[in-house]
Amino acid sequence: MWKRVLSILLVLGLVVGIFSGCKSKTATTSTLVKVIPDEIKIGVTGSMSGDQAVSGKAMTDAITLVKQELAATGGLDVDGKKVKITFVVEDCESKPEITVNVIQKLIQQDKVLAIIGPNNSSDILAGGVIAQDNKIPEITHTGTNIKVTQIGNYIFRECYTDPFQGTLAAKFVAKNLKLTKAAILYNVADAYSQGLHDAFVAAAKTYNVQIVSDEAFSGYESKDYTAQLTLIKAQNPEVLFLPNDVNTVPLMMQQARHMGIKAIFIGGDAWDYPVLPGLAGNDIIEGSYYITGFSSEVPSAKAFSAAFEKQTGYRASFGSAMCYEAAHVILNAIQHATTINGPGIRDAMAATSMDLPSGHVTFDADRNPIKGAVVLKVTNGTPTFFTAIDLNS
Amino acid sequence: MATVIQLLVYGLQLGSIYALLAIGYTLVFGIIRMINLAHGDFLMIGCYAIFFFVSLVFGNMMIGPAVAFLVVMACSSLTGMVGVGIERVAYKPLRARPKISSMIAAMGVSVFTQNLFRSLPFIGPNPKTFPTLLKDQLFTIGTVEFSFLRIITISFTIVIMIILYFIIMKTKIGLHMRAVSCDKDASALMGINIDRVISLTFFLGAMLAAFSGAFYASCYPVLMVTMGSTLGTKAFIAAVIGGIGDIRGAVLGGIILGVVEVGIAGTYSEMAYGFSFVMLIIVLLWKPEGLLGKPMIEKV
Amino acid sequence: MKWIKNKSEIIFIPLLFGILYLLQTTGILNGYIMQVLLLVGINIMMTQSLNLITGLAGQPSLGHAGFMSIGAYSAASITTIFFNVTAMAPALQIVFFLVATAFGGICAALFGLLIGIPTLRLKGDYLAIVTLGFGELIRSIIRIVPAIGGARGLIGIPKLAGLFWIFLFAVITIYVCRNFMDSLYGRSAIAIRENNIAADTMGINVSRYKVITFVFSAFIAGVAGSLYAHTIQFVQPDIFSSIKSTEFLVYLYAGGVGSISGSILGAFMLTILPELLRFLSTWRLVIYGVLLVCVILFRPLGLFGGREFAFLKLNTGGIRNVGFRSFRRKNKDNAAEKPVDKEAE
Repeated sequence: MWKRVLSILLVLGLVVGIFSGCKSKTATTSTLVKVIPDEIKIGVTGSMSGDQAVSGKAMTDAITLVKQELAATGGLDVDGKKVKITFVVEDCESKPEITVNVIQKLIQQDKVLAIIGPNNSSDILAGGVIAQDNKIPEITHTGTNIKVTQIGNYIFRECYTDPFQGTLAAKFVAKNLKLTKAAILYNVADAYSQGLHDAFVAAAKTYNVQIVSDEAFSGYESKDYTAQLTLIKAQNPEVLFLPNDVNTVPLMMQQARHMGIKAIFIGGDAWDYPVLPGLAGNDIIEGSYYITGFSSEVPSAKAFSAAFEKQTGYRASFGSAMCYEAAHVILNAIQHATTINGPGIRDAMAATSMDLPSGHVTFDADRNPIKGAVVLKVTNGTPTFFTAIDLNS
Repeated sequence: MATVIQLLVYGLQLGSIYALLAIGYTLVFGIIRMINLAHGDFLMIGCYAIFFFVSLVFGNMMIGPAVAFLVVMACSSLTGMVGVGIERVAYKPLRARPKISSMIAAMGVSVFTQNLFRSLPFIGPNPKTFPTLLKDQLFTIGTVEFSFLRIITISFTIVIMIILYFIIMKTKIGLHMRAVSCDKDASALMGINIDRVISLTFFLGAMLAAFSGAFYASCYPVLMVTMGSTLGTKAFIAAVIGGIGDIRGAVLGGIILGVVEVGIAGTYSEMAYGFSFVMLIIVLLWKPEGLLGKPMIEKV
Repeated sequence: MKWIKNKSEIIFIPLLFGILYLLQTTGILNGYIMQVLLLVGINIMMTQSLNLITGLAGQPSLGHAGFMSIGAYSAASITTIFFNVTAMAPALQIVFFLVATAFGGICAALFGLLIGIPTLRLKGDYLAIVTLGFGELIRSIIRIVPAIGGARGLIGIPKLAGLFWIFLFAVITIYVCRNFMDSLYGRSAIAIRENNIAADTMGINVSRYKVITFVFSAFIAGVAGSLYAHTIQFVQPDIFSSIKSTEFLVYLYAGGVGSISGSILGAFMLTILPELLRFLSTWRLVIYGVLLVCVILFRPLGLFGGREFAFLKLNTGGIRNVGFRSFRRKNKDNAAEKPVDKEAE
């Protein structure tokens, strides 16, 4: 009988051992003098697999570029000393529960000093609490939900927010396209889509855009929008706002055009993936606009875009650009931090003032970046820069 | 009024796709009393098979309707063979066991197939565009718009239903299938090859799923690995509503589901996804054997 | 000293808790491992609950995550929406937490009653279909209710469920399920599973016992849901999708359907496995599918062969008893009869 007890204790020990066996070199924790370690780890997490794997791919592309840059200079230059930067990449599978485990693992096992990602707002809402409690700064590159930075002062955001996008979309319709009749087809079961919709509707009042038709569908599982589009068509909108994800927008556009809806399509940053024009059909998506946070054609982005295209062979998208920028915000913070630990890096990040591909970046009191957006127009299957747009201009 | 008719037309178009898929469910259930929860994945396999076939063999060439039909037939038969294979491996050993085991095994097969396709890099999680098999034309009668492609879908569903009815009622193999559905052991005693009948049933079911997939993907040409699961659930609900075990019931159930879904989407779209389940629960409470089904008497 | 030998679990269980607590406070088991262990506890509870209805009563429930979500949301609404529990004194927090958890369980049980009564009256496998639909229906409804966060989810739930509570609830659940299995209800459920017409003939009110088992199972799922909400501190409808229900089903079948120890081990193993096999990512789900099919085909009693731990002192079910002491000697009569080698499904 003691054999059984012993074997069970051994199994427990084995399990504990497996878990704790993944420790590695750590960076030193807080001291008063700026101790510069030889190696600093930065965690990277996103949807590397599953339906949003395109986002994960954008992240890994960006990180590879950053690694190349660091390798070229022999490491990060912190006060004259070359520090090795290691990126620990983990898949959070777009699931909040797994994200919590991942963030715990990155902080407790890998001892990272900062985390980039996840790309999904829901995941960061779940995992951000852990980072906040453990005083490790986390910066999401595409988490646009307004509540993300409200988790705590350790959570940063490199992109704009959903209300910001939605408001700008309405402003674009009114000021740039000079149209007044808009219709919306949005997903009531998706926080992102709902957020953009609400902001658009609210802003439409300010900019004198009339919402002639406001239709919803519930869940990205349904692919048939003919009912809603029939009702939309009856109202003859000039513009159709489609704040939905890249898997379903092509279907909406195709069904709309087949029905004879001639309205101009407008979208948000979820459209910004290279696959979209191909999925929808170049002739169908021709002349559509979408708001995003990054364009490869603005002067500040030229160097980055060229390097990115050289490395991957395709155009940089919003996701990869933002991830690249998030990485550089952290690296810059490490260089300027008074102490190299979680709180020190956080304070340096809050005080960031640097030039990045999307322009000059600083953070406001809520750790949201102070910057504008761009509108891209799809012509001949390629999104091209149309105009820069901001709330105050 | 015109809107109502238009919505009705769209509902019929959607419903016929559900109907085709529901026929496959009902066929399998009717013959071997098994709920194959992996049926929707046959649809997905069929669609991807057509996608790869067309892109590898034809590249970007436009294919005419006759060739398209042949391609669809070929890929459906291939999916049928896959269905037979899955049946042999996963379901055959469970024939003597309670139905729950086969249901769980079917779930396992479904999880396996979906994630296998998702993990394979060349299929991958990214959506793919389905090749245009048939150039769609729109024409309007009065103020109501029809789509050539969807008319074909509806007509094909009816044709297939008639063909199947003919097969099951008038041919020898249909007689065998009806016998097996009545009493498996007695049929075996009568000299009917049970394995062959069941394999044929699965072949037909999977082939129909692939067919309906071809139509579905022509109407909604974005391919994703999860496309089968939602459709499978909807088709299952359709089959249950119409009366599982009866082909006419499957078609009726499919059409009802399609029309109701489009109708709800046009009025209270927030609940469109959940409403099909509400309908399922209502039918199960009111008439559990389905609209056209016969009450099953459980023999001791 | 003999009573200690017979009731040794009175020592072992607190000892296990003490060890875990010590390891946690000294930091040997860091936050990551503790998080995983907490999830193990919750999954054990959920698998137990699923075992009651699917394993004991033989009615597969394909939407159990729906009950978990009801429990999670009801409890979270008490601690987060209606009362701001984070701002309260610790003693009051505990009271609210327990009340919220009980409320979560009761809400889930009510829904169980609502679905169970009409469905379980029917003969046949309708519960599977209805629970599948119900799980998705609940998810659709929660998504469009803005008051509880809708699709965005509910954040800011206070972290009230730590090692102590989850351990306590898990142990209580195991013993409650053990008692259920050994009682009139459990045995009626097993009889119904094996042959419900014969059970009916023997005077067991089939519908009544099916509904009782289902409601009880839903209650436990609701409690587990509440604990989940107060551990992860964030709930969102998409967490409780049919994929999660399928995962619980895999845990149950892999461990051993119908056996309490099987559920415990299945949940434990398969909650830790994704963390150990992190590099496999989506291939892990492929393996789950294969695992499910293989278990059903070759080892229908689960990977642990339908055995039960001896310390549970189960008189019903279970093929053999394995464990710390040879309980066999005391139960020689029960163990002597050769178990019919049918699948305990």
